Amino acid sequence: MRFLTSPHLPALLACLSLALFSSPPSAEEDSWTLQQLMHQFRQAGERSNRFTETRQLALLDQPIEQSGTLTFVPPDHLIRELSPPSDSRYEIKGKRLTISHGDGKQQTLLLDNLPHLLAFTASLRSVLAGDLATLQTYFTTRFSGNGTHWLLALIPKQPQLAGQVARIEIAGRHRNIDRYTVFETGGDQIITRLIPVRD
Amino acid sequence: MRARTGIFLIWLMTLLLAGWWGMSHISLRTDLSLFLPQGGTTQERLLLDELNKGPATRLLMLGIGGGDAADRAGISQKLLARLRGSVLFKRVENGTPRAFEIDRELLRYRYLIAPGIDPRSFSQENLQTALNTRLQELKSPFPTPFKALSAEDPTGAYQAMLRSRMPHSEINRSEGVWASREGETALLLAETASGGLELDQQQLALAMVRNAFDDLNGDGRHTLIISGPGAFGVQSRDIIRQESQTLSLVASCIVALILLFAYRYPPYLLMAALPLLTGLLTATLLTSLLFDELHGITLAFGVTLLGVTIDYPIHLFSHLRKEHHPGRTMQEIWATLRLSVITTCLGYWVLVMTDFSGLRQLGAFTLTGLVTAAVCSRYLLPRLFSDPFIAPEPKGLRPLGRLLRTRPWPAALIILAAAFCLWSLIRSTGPVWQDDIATLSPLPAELLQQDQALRRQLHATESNQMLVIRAGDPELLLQNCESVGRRVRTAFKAPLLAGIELPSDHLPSQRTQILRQQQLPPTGQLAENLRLALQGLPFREGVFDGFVEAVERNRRLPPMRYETALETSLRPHLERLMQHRPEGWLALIPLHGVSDPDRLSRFVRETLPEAEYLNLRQETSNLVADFRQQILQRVELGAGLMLLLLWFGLGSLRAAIRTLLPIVLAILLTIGLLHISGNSLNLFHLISLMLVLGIGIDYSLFFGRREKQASRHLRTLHALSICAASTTGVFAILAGSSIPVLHAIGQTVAIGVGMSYLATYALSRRPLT
Repeated sequence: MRFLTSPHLPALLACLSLALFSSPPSAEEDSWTLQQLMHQFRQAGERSNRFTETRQLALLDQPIEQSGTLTFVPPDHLIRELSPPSDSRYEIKGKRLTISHGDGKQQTLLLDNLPHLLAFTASLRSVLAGDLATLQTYFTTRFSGNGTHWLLALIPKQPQLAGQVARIEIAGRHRNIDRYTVFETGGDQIITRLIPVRD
Repeated sequence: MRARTGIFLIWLMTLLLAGWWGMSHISLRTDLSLFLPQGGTTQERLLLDELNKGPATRLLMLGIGGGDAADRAGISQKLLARLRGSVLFKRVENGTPRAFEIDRELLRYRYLIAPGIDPRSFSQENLQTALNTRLQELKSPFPTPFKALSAEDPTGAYQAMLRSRMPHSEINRSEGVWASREGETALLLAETASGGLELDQQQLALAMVRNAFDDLNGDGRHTLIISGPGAFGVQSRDIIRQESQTLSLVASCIVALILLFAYRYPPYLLMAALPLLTGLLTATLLTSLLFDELHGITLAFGVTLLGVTIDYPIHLFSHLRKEHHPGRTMQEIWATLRLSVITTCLGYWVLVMTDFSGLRQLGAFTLTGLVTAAVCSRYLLPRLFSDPFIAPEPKGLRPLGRLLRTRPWPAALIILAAAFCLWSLIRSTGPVWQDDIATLSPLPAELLQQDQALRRQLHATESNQMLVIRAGDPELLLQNCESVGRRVRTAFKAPLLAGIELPSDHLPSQRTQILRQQQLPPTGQLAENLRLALQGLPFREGVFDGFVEAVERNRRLPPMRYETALETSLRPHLERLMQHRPEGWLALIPLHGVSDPDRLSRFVRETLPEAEYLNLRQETSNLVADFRQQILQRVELGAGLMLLLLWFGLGSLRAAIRTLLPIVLAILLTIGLLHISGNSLNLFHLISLMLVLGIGIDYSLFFGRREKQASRHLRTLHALSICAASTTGVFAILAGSSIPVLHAIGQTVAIGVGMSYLATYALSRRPLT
């Protein structure tokens, strides 16, 4: 008790508060939040990534590999182009999904007619756009990590999507996504690795 | 004086009591089926049923506006939930996709009932194509609900089944619910449990929608529009009711003003109204007793037709002289009045003899009303006058006297004009009759346009044409549908017909299922085809074992029966397209985008004995034309009877012809004028002409009376002038209505009565001076 009333107390408290609040680098990054990550994504402009996708499916005796380019143009335009020999191109803009193949065939779908797809597209598009509100409309989010390394887990809320997708994990560094993994309810996994393209 | 007040009070009290009893005991029928014929052939009955309560008549389209898309979608969802909970609605949709659920029973039967399954479906080549499609699906960047089925159904039969059943997929959506293409309105479709012509039930359904919406629209930011046959029916009825109430109030005021002006004696107003009211009340009570019910239309038209009875007291008032008691004056004019009433009654008596329950009611109603009003005028009305009664001198006798002396309307002019009308009617190339009842809709054009716009958005284009396929039981019906479908689809491809949906598309007949079973490959052959098809594809070994087993099971299943199918998710589709009726089973197939109805009709008649082609609009017009034809025949019969009666009553054929001639001319003039001014005649014009006929006879008989003194002649002219002025005034008001039905009636009667007055006056003999 004497200790508490001693004249050293203010100094001690000052030291304590310094230890707690003065900024060693690690401490700041611990407090990194999903909001901050989203803020960073919102600041970024148009960007392109090379991607490699590996599908490990129960039906197949070997994984399917596909690669191509993924381009995002804020606020809501996402293009997924496969490298040759495949020539499929998927483009989502607003609530329209356009699928085109090399043979000139083109199909436009309204995502409003396909609620599970509307929800699914949010998992990548809303993250790239930094649109937390939309993301949390369709998914329960779990965030861990810090500014250099982070992991965002998304659990679908939309019932139909939840029937097919157990969870989606997005791993990244700073404001780049490194890996985007879909864990399907049937056990299948689709792993997409992304590498930023610098022009 | 005391006697007068006493009788008057007793009369009024009796009327009030009877009126109160009637109000509390008589319920009005409002559906229109009573005015449609009973239907002799099964086809006619079917048509009437479709018109009355077919699915097309039960459709309500709802549009929610205001706020933003998310708000509207929210209200749409909540409204959907409320309406689905109500027994007033059979089906309510707002475009929210149903949760994807696999119907195990249908999945089990997939190779027997899915569309597009034939012997080639299981060849090595087709299997390979199907497997490649599945592989492409697996590469898609999006999850698909069908992935789980890939292993047991690599041919995609179940997928094809679901796709074929997905209706309305082309309707625009916003925030997950149907919305207009511009996105400003959220849309819903509701199918009421009651038929579109059952207006009371429809009104309940509409009230339910509005209340539910008002509850959800607490902040008042949103608007609701409801469109569809039921909504239109109820709205039309309200508009007609409201407008006829306003108009009859104005009309009554006009009659009152004319009476006041003509006699300057206010008690006449009540005295003139009493026989009319008594007639109305007696007619209402008696008709509802005779027929066990009373139709709203009978009442509305009946009231119009009984308006003529106000003329009876007017005759008395004009003929009253200072030196005579009203009772004696009544006796003097009674012979003429009686003949006039009996002749008019004859005209309505022929209606009692028709096949249409509605017309029979109308005939009985008018007959009773006329007789009662006449009897009241004869026996009760004179007792209301005090004894002695100093009759007020009718006003306007002097100018009428001049009119009587100078005769500005020579008979030749009337006859010439009538001849001209007849000539133009005969020469006319335009249609004289208009039998399309749709043109009589009282609704503003904007409402009809709004309806069209909603229908376009919801892809709910009205189908006036349908194919009816019959059979004794569901299995035979499905077989018939299959053969009709095959032949119609071969003969009528896209530009000729927009494509049809048959119940057999969802559930093939058992015969077809058995045929498919015989064509399904045996296990050994299928396994071999599959093995070859899988070569070079990355599928894991054995993943399709379940598929091979499923095909084998399908080869042994008992075919799915109609009754079993009703327990699956096929139920709404089958119920929509197939019906069980006392005369057998039938499928009603709506036809859209028929480019050449005549060709289709001929094709069905000549090559499809099990089917009939039904053009609802055409058939309705035919029905109305029949109806009109029957009335016309009755009118001819009635006119003949009237001539006989007049011959008998007046004592000479010449006098009878003399009495009828001006009315024939007047009616000719009326029809001619209507036609020349661009009106096509419809049913309501015709019924109005019956009224004109009755009034005309009254005028002609009174003008034709051989009066002993010029002063009496003048009084007759006065009475008829007041009658004509009040009747023309009342119906001219009606003619000003925006409602086609009221307009038609008002116009015809106003012109007709005016013409009758002019013609009977012009052709009447000169007074003996």
